[in-house]
Amino acid sequence: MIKILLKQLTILILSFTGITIIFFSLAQLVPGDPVILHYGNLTPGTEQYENAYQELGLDESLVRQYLIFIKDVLQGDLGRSTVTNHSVLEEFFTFFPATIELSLFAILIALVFGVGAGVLAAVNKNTWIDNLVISSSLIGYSMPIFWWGMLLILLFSLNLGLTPVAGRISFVFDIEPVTGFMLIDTLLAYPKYEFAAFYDALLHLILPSVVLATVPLAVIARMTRSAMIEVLSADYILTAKAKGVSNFKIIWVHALRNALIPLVTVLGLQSSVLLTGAILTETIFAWPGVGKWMVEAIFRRDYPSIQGGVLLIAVFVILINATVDLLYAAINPRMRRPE
Amino acid sequence: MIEVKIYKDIPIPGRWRQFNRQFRQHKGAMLGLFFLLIILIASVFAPIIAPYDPAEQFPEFLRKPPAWTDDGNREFIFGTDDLGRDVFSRIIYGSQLSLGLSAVVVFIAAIFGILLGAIAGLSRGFIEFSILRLMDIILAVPSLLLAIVIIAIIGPGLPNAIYAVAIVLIPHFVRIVRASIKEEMNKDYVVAARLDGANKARLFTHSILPNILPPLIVQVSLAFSTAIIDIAALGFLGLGAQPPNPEWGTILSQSRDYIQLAPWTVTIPGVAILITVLSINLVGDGLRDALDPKDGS
Repeated sequence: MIKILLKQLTILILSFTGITIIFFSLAQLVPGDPVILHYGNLTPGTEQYENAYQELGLDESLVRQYLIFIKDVLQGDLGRSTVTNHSVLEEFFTFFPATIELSLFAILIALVFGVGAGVLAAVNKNTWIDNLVISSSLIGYSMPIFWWGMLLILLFSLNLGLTPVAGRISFVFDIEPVTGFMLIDTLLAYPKYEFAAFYDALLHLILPSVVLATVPLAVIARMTRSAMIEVLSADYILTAKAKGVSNFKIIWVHALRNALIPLVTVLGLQSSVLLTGAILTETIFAWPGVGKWMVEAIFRRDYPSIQGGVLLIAVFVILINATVDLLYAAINPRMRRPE
Repeated sequence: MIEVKIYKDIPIPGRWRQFNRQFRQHKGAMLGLFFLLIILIASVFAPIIAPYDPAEQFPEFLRKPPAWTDDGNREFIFGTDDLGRDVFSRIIYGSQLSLGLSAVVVFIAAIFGILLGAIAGLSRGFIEFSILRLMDIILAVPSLLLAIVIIAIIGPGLPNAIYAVAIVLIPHFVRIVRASIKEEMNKDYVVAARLDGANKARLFTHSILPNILPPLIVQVSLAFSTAIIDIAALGFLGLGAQPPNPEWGTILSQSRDYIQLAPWTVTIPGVAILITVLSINLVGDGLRDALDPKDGS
């Protein structure tokens, strides 16, 4: 276990160094004056401009500039947004909880329905249920989610009036951002609105998370189905059957437990897919998360925000993947080796 | 003439025959191929099939619903958009962009991916390690986000979107090629070629490449569908093709504001994207089953 841990740590450090080097090199490619890029509109020749120039180490070698960049990053200084003049790090973390809330809810939907559909399909292999699951997962997998989102808005929000069109909560509710997670914050504000605010936040959450869940759900359903079919033909299942274990217990306890192991890896890979989807979903539903924030930063040419945001997201994905690898080693008995 | 069979021979079907037979059995794949051919024909013969120019405006027919509705007009099968442009013609011309651009993207990604994968697979130590780490890093950044960053650096627009999506697709090719090379390297036929004195480049092009084609072809189909969705997504975000270009994602972002007034301008381009991607994925599934029979059910 310690060996695996050490290996993951090395990979982590290497990936981080690689990412920073790539970002640093990309920054050299951006057209325009690097000072203006990082600090907004400063006039060359002024004292401010000279200070910024010194701070970026522009009169020194590229290696030195990179070291300055690394030092700043490690100290959590990702610069300031050229538009709002807020610290990029702080700004990122005000938007990040919204994205996490959306993604967690989406992955929950994807897991529950994906695993359920996958198991159902595997148990009823080659029946109409199986065919239905396979074909709908193929459609879900091929879905352009930005269009899917608009379609659901058209149907549920505009035509049926069941769900709100955009945002995280109605303007009527004045919720103090304590944790940044709307569902928790609305519960914390319980004395003020009782469950009305919570219910409203949940209603806002449903459509975006269904949209975001679509692709992972399809992947999980397909994956669970094939893993389940393989496990169900294993000898130990036959043994369990021979011993008279109930069908329900065989499927949902004995088989599913082993079928879910490869799912951990899939979940790790889906974190990247989820964040990609989050960019689109947040844009459609005006969801104030990091995805929407990044797209806006590009249109405003807010370079520090783009750089800092992508760096943080990449580090986040790498951390998740490392955790997933560790988790996989921890739960999969086959990965355990005799000392 | 009488055919006399002296020997009782059982013909063993060739590679292509076997593949053909397997693929034809796959109903979904045949359906996908059928739709894909229709879309291909539509894009190649767009000027003949499309009744109007994609940019032509009919001011007297603004937001005309599709022909099958009560207010529809037979002149405009899929209706017209907010500027009075024929939706059907725009979709047909848009297929040129979607298919053509993704083909370019996949071509670029495959060339670079196979090259890098071959280098990584045939070498050891630092070169292999750095290529793999680089690919891991590219994979760590969510694909669309990476494309967005590349576009943020080189600026929005169609050519830049192509480079961005291509770069995002490269790591998958690298991984597959490298893994397959490592697997094939110790097989007897490769050892034989090596004993014959083949150098690494020759070894790869003459011995290994023909044998790792099946997973590569499957990867091409996967990359193709990803490319179509990503290009449309970039167009939708306003970072890819720019209006009045009839690219499907761009059309969607344009008609978004009229979702209530003219819902068909939203639904129809989306259906076009969905059907195209679905067809490619169906064909991809069929290819995978047919090329690698031991894997299929």
